[in-house]
Formats: sequence, C-alpha cells, structure tokens
Amino acid sequence: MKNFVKLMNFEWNRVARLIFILMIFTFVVQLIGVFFETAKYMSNVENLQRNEGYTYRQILDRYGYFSFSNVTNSLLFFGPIFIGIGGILFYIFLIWYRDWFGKNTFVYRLLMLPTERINIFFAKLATIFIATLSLVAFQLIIMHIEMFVMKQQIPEELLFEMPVTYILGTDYFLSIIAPSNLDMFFILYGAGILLVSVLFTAILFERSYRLKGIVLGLGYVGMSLILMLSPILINEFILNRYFYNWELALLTIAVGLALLFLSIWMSKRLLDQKIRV
Amino acid sequence: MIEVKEIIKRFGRKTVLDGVSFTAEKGQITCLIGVNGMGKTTIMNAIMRLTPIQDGEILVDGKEVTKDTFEKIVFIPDATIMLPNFTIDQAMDFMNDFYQNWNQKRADEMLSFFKLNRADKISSLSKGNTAKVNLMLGLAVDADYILMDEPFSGIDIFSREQIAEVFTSHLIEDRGVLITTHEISDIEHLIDKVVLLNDGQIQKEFMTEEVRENEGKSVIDVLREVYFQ
Repeated sequence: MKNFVKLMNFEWNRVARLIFILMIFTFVVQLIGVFFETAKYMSNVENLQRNEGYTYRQILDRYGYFSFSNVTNSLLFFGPIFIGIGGILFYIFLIWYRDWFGKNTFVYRLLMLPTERINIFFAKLATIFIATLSLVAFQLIIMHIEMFVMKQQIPEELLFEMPVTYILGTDYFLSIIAPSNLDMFFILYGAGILLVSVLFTAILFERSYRLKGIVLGLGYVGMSLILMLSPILINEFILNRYFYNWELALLTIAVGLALLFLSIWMSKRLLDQKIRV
Repeated sequence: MIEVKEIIKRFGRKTVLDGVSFTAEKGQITCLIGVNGMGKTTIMNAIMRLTPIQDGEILVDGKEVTKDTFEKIVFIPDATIMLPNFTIDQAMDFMNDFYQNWNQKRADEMLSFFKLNRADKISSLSKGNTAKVNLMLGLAVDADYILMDEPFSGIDIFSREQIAEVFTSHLIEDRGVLITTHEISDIEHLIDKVVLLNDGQIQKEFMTEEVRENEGKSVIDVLREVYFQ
C-alpha cells in the first residue's frame, strides 16, 4: 500500500504540469468565450437601443434573456473541455508508452522495484482518475468565476441568473462530466475506471507480445465491449425483454465489475510473467 | 548463488537461448562473454523478469525471483533507466523511497569518488558520467548480487579506469557480480569466472585462475581457441 501511494505520487508529479497547463488553457479560453458572447449580445442590444430606440422589454422579446447557457453553448466554452478529454485519453496511452520510449527507458526501473508490479497499474489508473477529477473540479470552480465576470458585462434587467448546479443538471454534456447525484457519479466514473482498465490491459498485451499483442489487445477491447453489451442484447433478442430496467442495470453493473476484476487479474499476469522491456 | 537452469528463449521462430545453464556465486565476479546478439542481455533481462522465458528456471539463493528478490539483486543496464529530468539528488531520493536496502552513505561516497555533482540533471550528463550515475544507483543498494550489462561500452578511457577501480574496491567485495562485456581487456585481471556463450548455448565455463595456473592461458587465449577453432 505504501509503495502504491509513493508510485501514485510519483506518477502524479509527472503529469501535474500537463494538467496545470490544461487548466490555465481552459480558464483563459473560456474567459475569452465569456467576453466574446457577452460582447456579441451587448452589441446587438446597443444597436437596437441606438438605432431603433428599443427598451429592455422589447429587447427581451426579441433576443431573450442572456444566461450562462449562452456561454456554455459556445465553442470557446466546450472546446477546451473536449481538448481536456482528448488530453486525458491521449495520456492513458502516454502514461505507459513514455516509460518504454524516449531518451531513457524508465520501465526497467519501474519493473525492478521491490514491490508488486500491479501497483504500477493501480498507480497509473489512480493518476488518470485524479487528473480527470482535478480537471472537472477546476471546471466547476472557474464556472463560478466566469459567471461573476458575465454578470459584470450584462445589465441585471437582461440577465437570467441560474446557479451552477442548475446548469450542470440541465446541460446534457456537463451533466455527464459532473453528475449532480451520487448514483450517477459512481456509475459514470465507475464506467470510466473500467474503460481505462480495459485500455491499460490492451496496452499491456501490446507491450508483452508486441505485434501479436496489438491483435490480442484489440480482441480484448472488442470482447469487453460485447461483454458489457451482452445483458442488453440477450434481454432484447433472446429473452424478449424479460428483465425490468433496474434488473438490467444491476446485471450490467455486475458484468462491469466482473470485467474490471478480469482486467486487473490479466494485467497482473502480464506484468508478472509476460512483460518485455 | 544465481542459478540459471536450462533456459530457453525464443523471439518469434528464432531461438536465442537454447538450454542455457550456469551459476554465478557470491563473492565472485562472473563474466558472461559472447559476441553481440548472442543473448547476453536477454539472460540479464530474464534473471530480472524483464522478459519471459519459454522454458527453464532461474533461482537466486535457491528461490524464484519475486519482488523481494529485487532488494538483493540489482541490475545496471547499459542504458540510463532514470528519468532524464531528474537531478542526481532526485534519483537518489527515488531509490531511497523504494529500496529498504538503499545505502545513502555509500551513494555519497561514490558521488565524491566519481566527482559527480548531485544537482546535475541526468539528461545533461556525458555518456561517461551517465554510466557512473547508473553504477552509483545500482551499487548503493546493499544488494548481494549485481548484474551489469556492458558497463564499459562507449565511454572514455578515464571513466573506464574509474569504473574498473570500483571492481577492486569494497563496493564490490563479498557481492556476487555477473557482468557482460565484449571489452574483456578492461577487467580481465579482475574476473573470477567466465561463461562463454555461443549460438545460444554455453560453450565453456571456467575459473580464470585455474586456466591461468594449469594451462598458462589468459581469458583472451581461451576465447580465441573457442571462437576460432
């Protein structure tokens, strides 16, 4: 356990700078998004006031209230989030491959540490998880700041204020990255951990068997996908919708957990017996 | 004692090691000799479980290699295996964090012997100094066995002399050393035992002292006989 914590701390330190850069990038671009969207709206408002003599009431009839949704729907807001997600997906691979390639082959050191090798797997998995949570938490914090900035740009009369929790509950995309209830959080982040574990296992297949490993890794990912969908497919096509939805959900969770344990077991086996430097 | 028993290693359809067996004992320097591509590094990797073997067995002090074995056997490969952006100090901290047997006093001693600056980044070091850091990080673990892969390859003559000096010092004394090299002249006078690898098999295994006394031959003489017979 102590070694796992040390390894995780070590892995975190290796990615922290990248996460920090992603955070700054997200904040800057989203802030530009806030200024851009508010300026666009206010320019329309001012035009109508100056040229047509519109009152706020008339402006509201024409353009509606300005709310934070105007910002969250803009590319400048969700673009950086997509880049963050892309960054994390990319790092799922980089976190392993950087130890084999590059100037120094650090994987020698990692594999020769006097600790269970599966700790390397867990440390990397935990790092990805913490990196994701850090980015999401940072996003939630900066949304408050962005909202504050937005309020300074738009007259109160034209502003439809809504709390961050409301936006998170109503925006489909944001409700996935930051679920507003605990059940959804466990299900979505559990699914995330499962996905990363399956990908890690596929990477370890490749690192153990190289070319042949690519086929094995892809096969493993394919098999995992079929396994995860099997309760739904069986229920739909073989059992004629025999299960209730909640039963189906429980069944899917059970299959997911089984797959998680299979991935951990397989990764341990590969790391202990098959891995190549 | 490190026991390598009948190991078979294949890469695809090519058999690199075909029933290789030998031992390396504590208190001795055993040299694994063979021309490049003969599988010397593969043997080292197999001992450290860094590559799987298809058959055979490797024991250290009569037991299979597990995580606990890594406290008493260290491998110093010919490439740097520490993060390049680490300073020497950070690299030592890393080792100290994970190895119970890390001996900082010994590390400090080696730093001053090699005249290394602990604040230097590993990526900024010359090849010779990188090899010295590698050696320091390996030898500062109070391990019973040390595996070294080509410690002299591609480094300047003065660094070679310094590294060779380490072999005669208390840093090596009482430990079992398994070394691979094709630059035998640097350490010929230091090695106790030679294991000759040829075509994936052990061609000859002998004690240098015995061959010197009984047959009046140097290691290089024996090598010449084996490879050019």
